[in-house]
This record gives sequence, C-alpha cells and structure tokens, in this order.
Amino acid sequence: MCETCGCSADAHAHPHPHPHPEEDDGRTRTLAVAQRVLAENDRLAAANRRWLAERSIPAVNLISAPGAGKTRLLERTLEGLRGRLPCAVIVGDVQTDTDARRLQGRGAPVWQIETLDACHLDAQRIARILPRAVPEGTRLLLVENVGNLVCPAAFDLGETLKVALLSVTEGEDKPLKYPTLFHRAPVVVITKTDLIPHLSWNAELCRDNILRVRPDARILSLSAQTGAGLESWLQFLTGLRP
Amino acid sequence: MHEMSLAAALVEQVSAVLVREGAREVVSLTLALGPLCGVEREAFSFCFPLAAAGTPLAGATLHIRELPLTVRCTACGSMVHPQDGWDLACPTCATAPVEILQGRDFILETLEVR
Repeated sequence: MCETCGCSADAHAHPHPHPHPEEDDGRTRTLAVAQRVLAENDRLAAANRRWLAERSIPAVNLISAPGAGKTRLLERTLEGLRGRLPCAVIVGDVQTDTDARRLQGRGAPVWQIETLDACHLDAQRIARILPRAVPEGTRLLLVENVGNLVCPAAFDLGETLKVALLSVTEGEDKPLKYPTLFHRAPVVVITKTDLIPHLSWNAELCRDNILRVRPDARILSLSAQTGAGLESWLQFLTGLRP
Repeated sequence: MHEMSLAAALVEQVSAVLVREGAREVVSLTLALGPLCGVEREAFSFCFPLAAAGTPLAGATLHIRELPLTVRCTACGSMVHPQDGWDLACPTCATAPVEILQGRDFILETLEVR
C-alpha cells in the first residue's frame, strides 16, 4: 500500500492521478478565472432591472456632486408629475433622513437609505428594499444617489439610465475631471441656470466637454428655482420606458 | 473611496473560487483594469491588503494589468485608441456616437493558488 495516500499501489513511486491532501510540496497552480470584479453587484443589478421591467417601471439613477441640486430638482419633479405619473423615490445619503423629509408630502412614497460607511448606493441595498419602496402602480422610480461624482458611477443599480447633474457653479470642466460618470450618463442635466447672470458660464464649452466624453449625450438645462426648462425634463421622464 | 468596497467584493469572490477549487491560499492574483472602469489603481492597491488581511488572500501579490482603451466610431467604423484619456470622439466624425470595445472592464483574470 502506498504510505503517502493509502492507495492500493505497493510503492509510492507510482504515478498519481489522485491528490494527496496531506502532502504540501508548496507547489502552486494558476487558475484562469476571467470574472468581472463586480460580478455579484451586476447579478443583483440585473435582478433589480428585471423586477422593474416586469412591472413596466423605468428607473433613473441621479448622480452628482454634493450640492448640485438633486434634492431640489426632485422636489420640483414630484410636484410637476403629481397627478401625471405615479412616482416612487429612493434617496441615498451617508447619514440623516433630511432629504427624505424634504421630499415627503409631494404625492410619492420616499424611502431613505443611510449608507453609513459607503460613498455610493449598490445593487444589494436597492434589492433589499425594492418591493417595499416601490408600490404597485408606480410608473417611475427616481433614485437619488449619494452626492459623489466618483464612486456611484461604478455601481450598476439596475436603473434604466444614469442621469448626471452638473450645476453651473461647478464649472464647465467637470465632465473632463470626472469622465467615468459623464461617460456613463446618456443624459446630463445642467442645473441652477438662474445663477448664470452672476457667473462667467460658457454653455458652449460645457457642452463640448460633455460631448467629448459622451458624443451622443442628451443635455437638458433648467432651473429648479425659477422652473425654466423644467417642463422638458418632466416630458423626458414621462417618455421613459424600462 | 469605493475601492475598499471593491476590494472586499474581490476577496469574497476569490474565497468562493478557492472553496470550489479545493485550494487553501492565494499566492498572487492578476486583475485587468480599463481606464473607463472607474477604479483608481493606486487606491485599489492600497485597499487590497486591508481587505485581504485575515483571509486566505492575506499576503497575496497583486498584479494589475492596464487595458488600453479602444473605441469604434458608429458612423465611419474606424477604431480609435484615444491617447488623451477621455477624448472619446472620433477624430473624423466628431459628434457621432462611439462604441466602447474595451476599457470599461475590471476583471479578475488569474489566480495563483496552492
């Protein structure tokens, strides 16, 4: 009997198709894996997307720097779509439910996710609450991501599309400084346009910069404060299909 | 700093492969990283050992291979390797949409295990 593995061969000089678990010769082997690192997030995002599609609910993932006006735009959006399109809202923040409280009372259920340690929403956080946050009859899901131009861009939530917000006070070069997000967002909303008279804002330059990283981007400009340009945004949302 | 979340996801993913393959530890691993994947190489390299500590990946050598960006213009069909980072527009057709053929990926390619 082989003393190393206990197989029935009479000496250990025989060739070994079977492994010897106790034997550790320190040899290594290389495995070809070829998996996306975010494979698990992508799997959950695909499940979210399927869940939404089965209910004919398009979902918008709103991403911007902190202070670009995501919550203000959502306030006006919910007011504008009230009675036109049943919406549900999921808001992500590192801490506090301030945004959810701001958005309450505008005819749409609002669910706050406090990410605590995370700088972005991910597909799992959405999957956990989706059936509770999105009641039957909803026709549009608006997700306000954590204010951050970098991290949220890497995580698919299962949305129909990402929308990047860029406020005019941030400067025209933002799309070039944070190209990953602007490349992945087919729609860019320029916000706070009522402030343009106080700034040296170059709309043409901003447009060129957006199109450099996303040549087919659709660009909307609006002021949630005055309501200018808001109707085009509402019409865009109303026309969305999952 | 989502690189920490990514490093933690990678550790989980690799641990599952180890169980499946009956291996006990990772000696080295190779990742491929495209410039449009939204992952900062330095930040990820910093986070990886922190996420790997106390797992079968502790002490593993991390190799990161950078993938070139390749796009194809949907109007004229020409293939472009944008050198200047983010200028994805086709030099000829300018405003036509481009299709990203390579550059968005963040892939676990190989694992050296024992």
